[in-house]
Amino acid sequence: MSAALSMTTAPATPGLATAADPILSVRGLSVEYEASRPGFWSKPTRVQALRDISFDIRPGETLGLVGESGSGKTTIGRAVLRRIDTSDGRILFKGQDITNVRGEALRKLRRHMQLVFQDPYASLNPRMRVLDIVAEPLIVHGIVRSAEEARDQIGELLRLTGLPRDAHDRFPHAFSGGQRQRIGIARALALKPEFIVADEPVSALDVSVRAQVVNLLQDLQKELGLAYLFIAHDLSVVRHISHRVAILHSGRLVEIADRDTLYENPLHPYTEALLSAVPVPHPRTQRARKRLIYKGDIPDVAHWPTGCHFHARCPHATERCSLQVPPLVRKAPDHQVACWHR
Amino acid sequence: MAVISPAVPTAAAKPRAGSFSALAAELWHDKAGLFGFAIIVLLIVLAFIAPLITPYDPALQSVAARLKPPVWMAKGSWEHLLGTDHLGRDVLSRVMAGARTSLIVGVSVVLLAGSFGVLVGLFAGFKGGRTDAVLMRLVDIQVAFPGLLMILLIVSVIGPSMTTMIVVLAITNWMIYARVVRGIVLSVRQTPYVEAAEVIGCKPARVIFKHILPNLTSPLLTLGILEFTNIVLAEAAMSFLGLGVQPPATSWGLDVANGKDYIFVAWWLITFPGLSISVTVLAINLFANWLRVTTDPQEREKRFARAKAAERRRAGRTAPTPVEA
Amino acid sequence: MDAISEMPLLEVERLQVEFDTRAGIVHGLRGVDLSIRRGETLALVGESGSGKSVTAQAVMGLIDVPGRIAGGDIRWKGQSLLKGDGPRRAKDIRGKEVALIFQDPMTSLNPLITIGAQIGEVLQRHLGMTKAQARIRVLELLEAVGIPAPPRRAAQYPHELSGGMRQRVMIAMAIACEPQLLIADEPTTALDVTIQAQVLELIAGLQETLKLSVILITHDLGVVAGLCQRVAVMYAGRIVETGLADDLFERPSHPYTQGLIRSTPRLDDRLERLVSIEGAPPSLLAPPRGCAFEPRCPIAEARCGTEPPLAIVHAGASAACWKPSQPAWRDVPASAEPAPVS
Repeated sequence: MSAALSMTTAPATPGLATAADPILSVRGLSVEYEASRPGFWSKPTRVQALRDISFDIRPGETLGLVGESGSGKTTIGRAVLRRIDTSDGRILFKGQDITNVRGEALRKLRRHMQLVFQDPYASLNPRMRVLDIVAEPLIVHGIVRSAEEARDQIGELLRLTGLPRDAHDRFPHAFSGGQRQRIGIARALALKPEFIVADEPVSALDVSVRAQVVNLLQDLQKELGLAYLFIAHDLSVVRHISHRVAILHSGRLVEIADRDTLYENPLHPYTEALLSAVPVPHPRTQRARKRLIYKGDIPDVAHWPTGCHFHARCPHATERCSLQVPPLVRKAPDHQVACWHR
Repeated sequence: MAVISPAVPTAAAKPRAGSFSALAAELWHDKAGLFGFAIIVLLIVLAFIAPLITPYDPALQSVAARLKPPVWMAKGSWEHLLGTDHLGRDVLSRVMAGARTSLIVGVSVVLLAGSFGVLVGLFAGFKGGRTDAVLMRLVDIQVAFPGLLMILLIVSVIGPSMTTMIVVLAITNWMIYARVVRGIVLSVRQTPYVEAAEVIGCKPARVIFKHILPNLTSPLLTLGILEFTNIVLAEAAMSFLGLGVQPPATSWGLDVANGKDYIFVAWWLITFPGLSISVTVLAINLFANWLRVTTDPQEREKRFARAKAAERRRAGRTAPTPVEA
Repeated sequence: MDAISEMPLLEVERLQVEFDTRAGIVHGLRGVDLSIRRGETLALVGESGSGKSVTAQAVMGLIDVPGRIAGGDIRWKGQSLLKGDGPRRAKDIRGKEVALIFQDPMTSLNPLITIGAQIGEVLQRHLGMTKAQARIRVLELLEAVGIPAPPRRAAQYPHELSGGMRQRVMIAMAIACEPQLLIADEPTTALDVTIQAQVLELIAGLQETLKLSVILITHDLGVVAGLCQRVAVMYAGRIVETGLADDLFERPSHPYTQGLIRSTPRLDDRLERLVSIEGAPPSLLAPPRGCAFEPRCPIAEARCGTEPPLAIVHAGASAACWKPSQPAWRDVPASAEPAPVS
């Protein structure tokens, strides 16, 4: 807990801005999906994917967002980027409410927030040259008229992302997975955004290439002062890259804290289970760790339980947990948790 | 900052160079596809130069030379290679001229129905929601409506002619394009690079034409060619029923219809136009199959590997025996 | 008795697998040597394209056009499965004495048949059980792999089960014939961490109770650390290092292994920067003549242009490197003091 308290006076990492206003604030965000339409005229059944999500991201900061499949982490990323509509709550970007921004205003907003994709193979149009791919954002925003005009500018981006100088005129298939991910990052950076949603940017890459891209993202953050929403399921990578970490379970944030506090002093039983389930790649250490393996499955998005979504698997659960939803409560200046027993 | 060594050559990188000669070599290896291709080329050439090389005017009647058998038969003569019909018209000339009709009708209908169907499919797939539902129900309704009845209705109102036939066939054949295109658009819309285009701020038109449409070319090419065979058959059927091409113009279907009364006295009257229809349809199917495999990288790779494996077996290399077949 | 237990259960010797592609012959395996004894757990670690899955497929006789075995031998209890009447013998062994589980259980389960019937079919075909016998055994098996309420589950179809449950069904099917060797090809890659922990625990438990030998194929070093006694690291179609797990993680010999371990972020470390292995694995269309890792190796020198043999480095460990055990990556401290993890 002492680590958490010290957070109030000093930033955990040099790159982190202290008093700056958040670049992104999410308040009470909920998202519903149309699951299926029973008939042509009838109202579609709706499934709630996210419920009451609130968090901030400060300029130059990385917020790691961790969750298992079906937890809604990708949905948060898409909602923040205004790719999908919210059913409740507000999204503020640099103090401006963007919850209902549409059309041309939304297109303008794209210059400030970008997305890095998970799959480096599917996220690049195989029929376009690297130059055309990276220059497309500049063209569609009217900054340059043609890809050729942007050649020098793109060259600079390619250098920044560690791509070979002659990459311009080649097609994506001529590159390896790691290099393609660099092309995707270069495209995201072309408009000089301040905020990037990175949706599992390294999980599709090979182990030996992951570190390249993680290091690149960190270097770019230092150089350009970017803020990241880093979505991942791999807690080890998240610890490495994030300043703060949010844990998502079945559409709700269960814990959010600065990195070291969360990893060293987790409060929510789900966070504990998650951390203990991640194997450490070192046999002796791994054998010595105590592991909490909870029985049961992750609840399905269409049939969420009442109360705390984790209560069926939680060893501390009481009757209250199965009836009432625990609110996200601030336990320390930079540590919030949603649990009745902590 | 990381500097990456020049890209590794991947399997997909190489065959780009000299892709035309590579394609030709691949077609040469696939004999069925080659046969199809040859017949299609012949058909196209015939259609263009038929008026120049037909030995007789296909509509020229000659009472003196009625029902002459082909040249190799006892009473055949070199003047009429494939014989003559009941009005003394040269069968060879008529078959050649018929190719022209088939090609014109086939190509026009495919283009007309194709463009309409593609537009509907694109619109439905991209808009989604209720627009999609309404458009696709329309498609369902028309698919469920008997095509022949529709043709009879329209032709009996407007009267038969080549133009009518083209329009009518287009009206009854656009639905498949709409369905196929909508399906592809729906799946391509899900691909990350289309999402990427939207996230960087591309307008819908750019997303559709730059990122979605190119994915349609090869499936549409295959579909169009296969549909062409349907149209050739439909044209023959309509002309056979007297709803299509009207004399003095010629068509294979019309010739089969004319010849059917003489089937026991002059078998060549329906055999040659009929054979032309069958061979054309077969050839196009063979070629379309080759094309489908060739435009699908995975299928193409498989075909190559199978050919290679067969080659190895023939060579009977006595390297380690392969484990199971 | 001793002699039998000493004899390796499975030996793979100089195994070569080639694939015909339009771009040329891809040398998938370029001489793989491997052996596993009774009751042993061996991890086969490598990136995509390194040949780890191809090795498993070759052992299971699943190499089909475009692939073919171009050289080498596979021996089961000392008898060849490739030469003489080996292929015929292999049919009886595969699926019965050697079982395989895949990464994605959904693709290997028939969606139209209940899981009970699918497991029962294996029992009837391989062990000649009657339907009634099989039904009883199916319930025992489902119980053994930790599926709650076996009678109800046996009547369900694969799509009614969660990913973790499906993988348990696959494991039940694999152990149905009481195999001596279980090959698990990325068994937990598609699963979430908490579910992954459950499945790994299950495999470890079964290994103990059934005295199974296990070959675990994975790219995740963490999974290896928790489960395996011995590790073989593959790179570009060859095994570059083998050794006891504890030893290999403590003092890796091959520069690639060193890099792999140091580029993997750990839950319990606070490294500011990961080691990054630059570049990408070589194309196997034209594999390098010498050491395949040479272009990416920071300590490569002239003699690395010729292929190093897999030679013993120290007791129980071998590496294919001319300069084994030399520290290859200097730019980052070997290991920071481990941070506490809950």
